[in-house]
This record gives sequence, structure tokens and C-alpha cells, in this order.
Amino acid sequence: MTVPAPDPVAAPSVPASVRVRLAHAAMEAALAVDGVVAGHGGPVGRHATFDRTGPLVGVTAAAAAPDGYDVSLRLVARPVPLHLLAGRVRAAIDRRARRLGLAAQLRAIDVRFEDLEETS
Amino acid sequence: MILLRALARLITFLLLLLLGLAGLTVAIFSIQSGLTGLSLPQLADWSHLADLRDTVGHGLRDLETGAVNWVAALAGLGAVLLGVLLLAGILVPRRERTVSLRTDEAGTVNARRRALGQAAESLVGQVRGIADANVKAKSRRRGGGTLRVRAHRIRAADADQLETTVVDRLTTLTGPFALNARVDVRDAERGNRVA
Repeated sequence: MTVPAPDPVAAPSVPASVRVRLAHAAMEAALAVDGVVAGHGGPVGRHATFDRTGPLVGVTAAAAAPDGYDVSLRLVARPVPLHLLAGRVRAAIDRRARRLGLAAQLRAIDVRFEDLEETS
Repeated sequence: MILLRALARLITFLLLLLLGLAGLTVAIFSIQSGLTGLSLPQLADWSHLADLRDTVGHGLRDLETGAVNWVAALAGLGAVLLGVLLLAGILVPRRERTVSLRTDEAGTVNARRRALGQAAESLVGQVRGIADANVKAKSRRRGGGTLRVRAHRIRAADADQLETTVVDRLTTLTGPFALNARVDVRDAERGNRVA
């Protein structure tokens, strides 16, 4: 189940929580990596982060001690070497988190490839 | 095992339903006291509990005298076997649906078996001489797994050489995910797509 990500820019001006910001940052960074097609909601479509902009499908951020968050991504990818793609996704999320000042809160990054999709 | 799991779930549901109904019945028949109406003695009377007590008593007396009722013994054995099978259906863990690539404090990387199968099909499809391929990925509980590749070759291609090439081509997938590749190359039949 793939759903386009909601636009956090269009959200009201109330600041989002660190958890939600990390989830958005992780998914945006992952989608920017060549080879990643979309987020995937998992077998029952509930692997998502919910906030006022709606569900961000394919990513969750869960509290992890101390004072951080584990990010879990479920992705649809193109048929490319998956282990290399996972490394690129993790590096992209690290860079994005550093740029947004969220690196101190970012703990583990779990990546699961749910499906493959040929794209033109 | 899938059948056992389904049977265990069905029987669990039915037993819970029966338990609920029995509880409801006892609750209703606890409304009144005495020997008639909605009372427990009346429920026992309607359920013929006295007859059941006599039947069980006769059975136990026969057992004490050493007489073996083979029908009852076999039924008991069957019930024990069914119980063991149902326990297996509940307790034996499911086969993992993902194959793990890496687990460390930085996180885990894994892939669904279907995604791995698709990736493998894509790799095998690029091998010259392969008409089409079907790949199934299986995971092991202790990590890693197996890729079963069934490929069809065009008639001019050498089967042994194709097998080696396919295994080589799959190393980008089998190495990191600790998968064993089992390749079966057959002649293409009419209707197989040629890459």
C-alpha cells in the first residue's frame, strides 16, 4: 500500500514535535535517494506516522532511551542492489538530520524493503 | 503447519464461545433460588447431570476392576494427539517473512522474501540465454535463507554455463543477505519470453 507523502509545508504554523519532524526528515531523505520509489504501509497499511497533516506512510519514529528516537522505514525500491541502497538511505537520513539539527535525537535507523517496483 | 494454526484458531474461538455461553447460562439460572424456575438445581435437572454422574461412575468402576474399554482408550489417545497438534500449531513460531541483512546498534536492514525474489528475478533476467525465470526466496529462522531459481534457457545456450553465470550474477544479493542460490535451468517451452 503506497500513499504519497503529505506536504508538511502546507500544515498550520504550529511547530511539529521532534518525533514527527524526524519521521518527515527521514522519509524525505529516503525518497530523495535514487532507487527508492515510495514508502510502504506494511501488510496492514498501518506503518505510518500520524500528525495533523495526515498519515505519513512508510515511516515511524519511536522513543528510544536516552532522549532519542528510533526511525523505522518500510520502502518500495527499484530493482537495484538492496544492501547498497540501504546504506545510501541511512547516510541520507543522517545528513538530513544533521542539517535540521536533529542528529542528537536520531538513534537507530531500521530499513525494510517491502516491495520492488519497475519504474520508467 | 498453516492448517494446524487455522485449526487452533478455530477451536480457540469455538471454545471461548462455548465458555461464554456456559457462563451466561449459569448466570441466568442463578437468578432464582429453590428447586424450580431459573435456579441452578433446575438447570442441573434439565442438563441430566444425575444421569451423567451415574454413567461416569460406572465407567470409573469398570476401570478400577481392570476392564479396558478400548473405544474410550482410543478416544482418549486421539484427544491427547489432537491436543499436542494444537499446541504445536500455537507454539511453533512462524517462519520469518523477512531476510535480515544487518542488525547492529545503528539499526536493522532487512527485506521481505517477495522483494528479494523480485530482485533476483530481475538479476537472472539480465543473463544472456535465459528466456525467463521464477525465483522464490525462503528464510531461515537463524538468519539467511535460500533462493530457489527456476530458469528457462533458450536452446542454443549451455545449461551448466548458464547455471554458473546465474549464481555469479546473484552474488550481489546472496552475499549480503547470506542466501544460498539453488538454480535449476531447463529448456524453454513454447510461450516463454526471450530476454
